Amino acid sequence: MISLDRLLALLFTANVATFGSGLATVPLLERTLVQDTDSLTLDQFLFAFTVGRVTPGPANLWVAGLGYMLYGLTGGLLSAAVVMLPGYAIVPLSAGYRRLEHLSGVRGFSRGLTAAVVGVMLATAAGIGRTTLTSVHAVLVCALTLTLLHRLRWNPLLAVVTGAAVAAALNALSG
Amino acid sequence: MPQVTARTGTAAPGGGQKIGLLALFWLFLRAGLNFGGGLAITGLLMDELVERRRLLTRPQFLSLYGLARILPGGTLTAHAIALGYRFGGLTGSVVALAGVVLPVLVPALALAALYEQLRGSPVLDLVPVTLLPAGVALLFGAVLTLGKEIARPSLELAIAVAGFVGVLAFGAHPGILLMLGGVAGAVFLRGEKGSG
Repeated sequence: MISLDRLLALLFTANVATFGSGLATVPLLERTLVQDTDSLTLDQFLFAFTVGRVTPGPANLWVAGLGYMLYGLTGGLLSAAVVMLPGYAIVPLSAGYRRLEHLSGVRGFSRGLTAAVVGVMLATAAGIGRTTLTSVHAVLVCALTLTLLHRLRWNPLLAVVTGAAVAAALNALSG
Repeated sequence: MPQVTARTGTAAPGGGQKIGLLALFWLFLRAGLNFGGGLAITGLLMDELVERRRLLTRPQFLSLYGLARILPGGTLTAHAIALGYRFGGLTGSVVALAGVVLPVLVPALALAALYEQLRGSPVLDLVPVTLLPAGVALLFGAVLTLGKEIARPSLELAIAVAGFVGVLAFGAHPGILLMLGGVAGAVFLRGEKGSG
């Protein structure tokens, strides 16, 4: 299992390296916490992610759930703290805003990173899907939720709860 | 609830107008409770701070947003810190940050605690067959949303494909691929006007 200081270092690095996109950290964290160190099961990981996605507020704070599962309340709060703290860099930087914004390399880096995130995310989603979507029911529920979310633009909480309710009904019906 | 005193001098460390700490917390908490995600929260804050209370001009609000956006580590949290600091110094930044993060922090911790409590009970056997398939849809949805920006032949699409193949076919570490994508962007995409 990953130690607390390594966990915090991992969360800090992943958050900063992905510019605080809660989504982009998923492939990184899944690889380290689930595959490499066996600290969490895939179910635990996906549960924490899902909870973070269906609650309002900043997306990158979903990792507090991971911290809690590994090191209790202390782990949860410290995990939240390490992803919030880099934001304080904005205080000294406020004055020099325009200088930084016009660095075209910074913008290019951000665009290249976003592009890489799309591919890496899809690979991660496919990998997780392979172990989670193992029945016809599960595939149907995933497709239904995706349709509600993406085509009909339902809010994530409602879409996930509806999907989960349909899944529960399907499971009850098939005994 | 303390009354907001808009347009009353420049005593706050950020040089801006004043708003009580409690009002500040309440304002950011209500924004944080918005289910629409980062942009919806930002829109709500802009509406409240710029249009309704006139505590900031739109360019002031947007330049802080722009700075928060290019800073590594979370646009929404950095923006809340910057706005809170402007209205109430260090205390203001903590208050604004607390308001905006509590709506995700409390449920994330509470549900993780519940999950750990229920481990081994039959109730949790339902999670993998109900909640998780729906949760995977969130991942695919995120890919679709992010992918819309690059769904045309471009270097960005090539970087995305390389990332996908790198992880799935070669088992490369996602972190390395993300960094390589960023570096490729910094070198080859710097001159272009892009979607991002």
